Amino acid sequence: MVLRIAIGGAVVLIGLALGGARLWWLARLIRSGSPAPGRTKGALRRSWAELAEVLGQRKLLRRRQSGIPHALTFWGFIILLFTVIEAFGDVFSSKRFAIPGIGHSPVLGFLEDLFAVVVLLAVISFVVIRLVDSPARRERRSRFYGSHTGAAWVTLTLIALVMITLLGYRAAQTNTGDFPYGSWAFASHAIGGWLAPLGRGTNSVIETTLLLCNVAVIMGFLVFVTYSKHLHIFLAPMNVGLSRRPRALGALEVTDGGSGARTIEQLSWKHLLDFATCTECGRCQAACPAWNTNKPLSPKLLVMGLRDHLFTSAPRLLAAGHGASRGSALTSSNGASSAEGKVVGQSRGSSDAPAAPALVPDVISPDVIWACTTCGACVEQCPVDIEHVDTIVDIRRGLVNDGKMEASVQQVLENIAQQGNSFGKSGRMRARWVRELGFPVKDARKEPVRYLWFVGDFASFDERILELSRTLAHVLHDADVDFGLLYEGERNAGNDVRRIGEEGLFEMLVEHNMSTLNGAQFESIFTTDPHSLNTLRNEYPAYGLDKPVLHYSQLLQELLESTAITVKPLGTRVTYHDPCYLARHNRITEAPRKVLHALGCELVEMPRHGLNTFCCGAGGGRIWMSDDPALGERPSENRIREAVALGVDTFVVACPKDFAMYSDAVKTTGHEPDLRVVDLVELVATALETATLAAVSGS
Amino acid sequence: MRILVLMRQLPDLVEELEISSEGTDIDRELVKFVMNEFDDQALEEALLLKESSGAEVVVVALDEPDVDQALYTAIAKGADRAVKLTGVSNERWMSTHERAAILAPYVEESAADLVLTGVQAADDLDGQLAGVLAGLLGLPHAAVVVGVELKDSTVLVTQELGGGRSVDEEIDLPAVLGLQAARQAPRYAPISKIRQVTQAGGIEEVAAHTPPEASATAISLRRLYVPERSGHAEMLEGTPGEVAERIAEILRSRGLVKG
Ligand code: SF4
Ligand code: SF4
Repeated sequence: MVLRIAIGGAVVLIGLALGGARLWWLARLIRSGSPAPGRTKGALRRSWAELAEVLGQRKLLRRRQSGIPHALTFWGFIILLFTVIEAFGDVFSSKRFAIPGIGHSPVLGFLEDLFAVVVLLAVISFVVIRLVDSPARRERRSRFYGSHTGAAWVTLTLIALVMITLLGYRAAQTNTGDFPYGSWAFASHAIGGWLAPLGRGTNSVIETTLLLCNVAVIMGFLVFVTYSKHLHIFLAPMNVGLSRRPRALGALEVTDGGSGARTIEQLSWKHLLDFATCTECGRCQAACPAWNTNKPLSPKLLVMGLRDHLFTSAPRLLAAGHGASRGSALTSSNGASSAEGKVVGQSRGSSDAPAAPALVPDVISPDVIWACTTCGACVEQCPVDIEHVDTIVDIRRGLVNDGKMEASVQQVLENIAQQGNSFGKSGRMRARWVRELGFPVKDARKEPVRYLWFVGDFASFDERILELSRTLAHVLHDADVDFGLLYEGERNAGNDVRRIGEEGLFEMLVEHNMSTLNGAQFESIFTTDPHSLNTLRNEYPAYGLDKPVLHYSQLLQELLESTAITVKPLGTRVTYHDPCYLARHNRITEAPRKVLHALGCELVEMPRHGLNTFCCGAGGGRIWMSDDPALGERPSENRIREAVALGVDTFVVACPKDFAMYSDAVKTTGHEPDLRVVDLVELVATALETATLAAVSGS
Repeated sequence: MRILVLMRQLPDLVEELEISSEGTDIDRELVKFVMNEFDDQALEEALLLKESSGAEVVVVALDEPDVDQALYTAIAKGADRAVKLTGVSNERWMSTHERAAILAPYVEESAADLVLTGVQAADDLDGQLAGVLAGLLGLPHAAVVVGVELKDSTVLVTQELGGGRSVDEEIDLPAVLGLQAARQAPRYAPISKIRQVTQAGGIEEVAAHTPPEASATAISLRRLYVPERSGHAEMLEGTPGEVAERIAEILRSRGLVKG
């Protein structure tokens, strides 16, 4: 007994010391980050997130195969906490230790046994998953590519050992008379049956040995956890609780006035917590359009790379004190900006600390940072609510503020700053497409309208797409919808500008658009472009916009449902591509589907649809960046192949950028003859024409 | 070392320009003005020289429409000072000679070691500004410059001669250069920086010396008009031999070739 206490005590103390030191170190490291305001607001929402995502394992369960075993393991560990308490009681107190208040209820005995077995089975399924999706064989296609697989195997082994020693000592106890549970503890009794022939003495030795082993493995596991990616056991509940709510999509986070992060010091503590929390599960990587089309960016590898950098920077970060001073050591190769440094972009302070390496290019290659489409698939997938897009854009801001970007992006930013549109055309030409309509369109700046149509650059200037704008205008006009435009008062809404990282230009655009909007009379806004919709709906309210913002698909849905427009069924088999900024960022997935339904189209879904939609590759300013053809297919081409495999001949889009991207992609993939790219409004117009024709011929 | 960059504002050509009712100028009411893109090249080269040699960069412009924005942008990019020469009418087009005459006294007073400007502008397609200015000041000059390297009292310039040839030469300072292209594309000035700079103010306003009375070379403008369509195209058909025969005939009949 004394020996038990001595060995057990030593193991526990060493474990607590090692694990505690590591956790303390981590806490100080994360607290050294820049401020991230508003992370505790909305306690109710946050508590609900904890319940749904941590206890309910909501996001993990989206991937059934690995989600179910993970949820069972998680719940198993909660139940098995009781066995841990009992084991410690057994070691340090008495052999028939019972948890006060619960005692040795047969139900507890049953649950403990059940989950010990269930977790063992779960471990087996994890082994199978890891073998089937082995990165050694499947390379980039494996979601574990680049993860620390060694640590994962150690973890699985430790979990298995916890369960084996647990069941072992409990089984031995059934033979020594120390086991407090009856036949409900079915597994312990069954194994005990096999151990019984060894005799009571041997069983007693087995009991003590395995009990101590159990405590040792548990402590070893805890220490190992704090030094590995399994840290998420402790950090995930925190990270989920401190994440942006309802989700880190829609509006972008802007910290420190948008001056951007050039060094790890300038990233917010929440992002540092993100890095430390990552489980390396690769769900983000598997969904990422950049990674899936051979770009250098994997959101997982980015987070892991930043975590490694965080840990190796620890001496510098901790020497600088508890987040008090943030050495900003502007590592700018641009002499102009360092010369201007005194005046500009230095709000994060500076210190004499050793120069911090630049995040780009010392830690991350610029290609990685620029490959992101800000589609949000990673954020949507991440089971521990890591906010990749916010981190990526904050790093981009640092680059843009130092003038480091692709020439084509610089040109577009200059166009937008000068002319207010990405096309570099005269801002006064913005509403020229209206001239050919054959009916006047109201100017919302001059007379009140019910709907203000925020058209956006592509739908105003791109030859192919302004044809679609005219179609929509005709449909609305025929349905007697009271709508108007801002004409040349409209400027690029700034969604992509902000995601490129040009926060100053974004603010300038918002100020301009808000002053025009404030001078116009309307009840609600609708947009053609989901990107404009996103910023108007989620970001403009911070600048005073207080009107509802709809997408034209929602307006079409309303018109069809209220029979303001009547159509004849088309009967076409179609598939529909959810735009990232409509579906994922704004949860609008039903409206376009209802429109298709009302048109009598048979909708065949692509495997990746709704919130799991696959990006066309245009977002986040990517539409203005060059794609290296040597890297293989583009995201849009990947998507077209997905659609072609369904055997439909019509690919429906509801976003001008999608129309442009996919019209090109059907050509480059050679699928132009068998897949037609159409906009939702074209289908509505066709169905209308059919209806009108039918009415004419019927009369 | 002080480098002066002379900048010009031009109507933004993405706009549709219209002729004013007097018929001798474009309608300046609605037009937006932007910096001459070649002057942006000159500014970039100056900033690169500043980075390598620590020179002071001063941008100088006449008080033309939307000029403040161009000057603040230059400061945001790294220019040390911005000077606006005021007191000159900015409501009409100004000939390059007139412009040079206004700039010359300021350039002289400023004790600049090197003067850079764009090789040409939309209203100075034959690129006279640098040359005329140098002439007025009695300074050496080079045009179509694509490379500048500072020495102690000289500057090494690479000048494009056309036909794929270029020449390197060493010119005494001070000198006036017309820049065709900087060594790298003009840098980006983030809007937040431009706005901060704008808020801080800092454009120096200097009264321009009134130019001497219209000199003999001054141009008087009678009429400005959109190029009128004249003549027509004739499609030549037939075998290559016949077509060649026909071309030769046309050239002969216009007296463009002999025989
Ligand atoms: S936002 Fe999209 S493109 Fe960017 S890292 Fe995440 S999944 Fe990849
Ligand atoms: S970032 Fe999230 S989804 Fe990606 S590997 Fe880490 S935990 Fe998994």
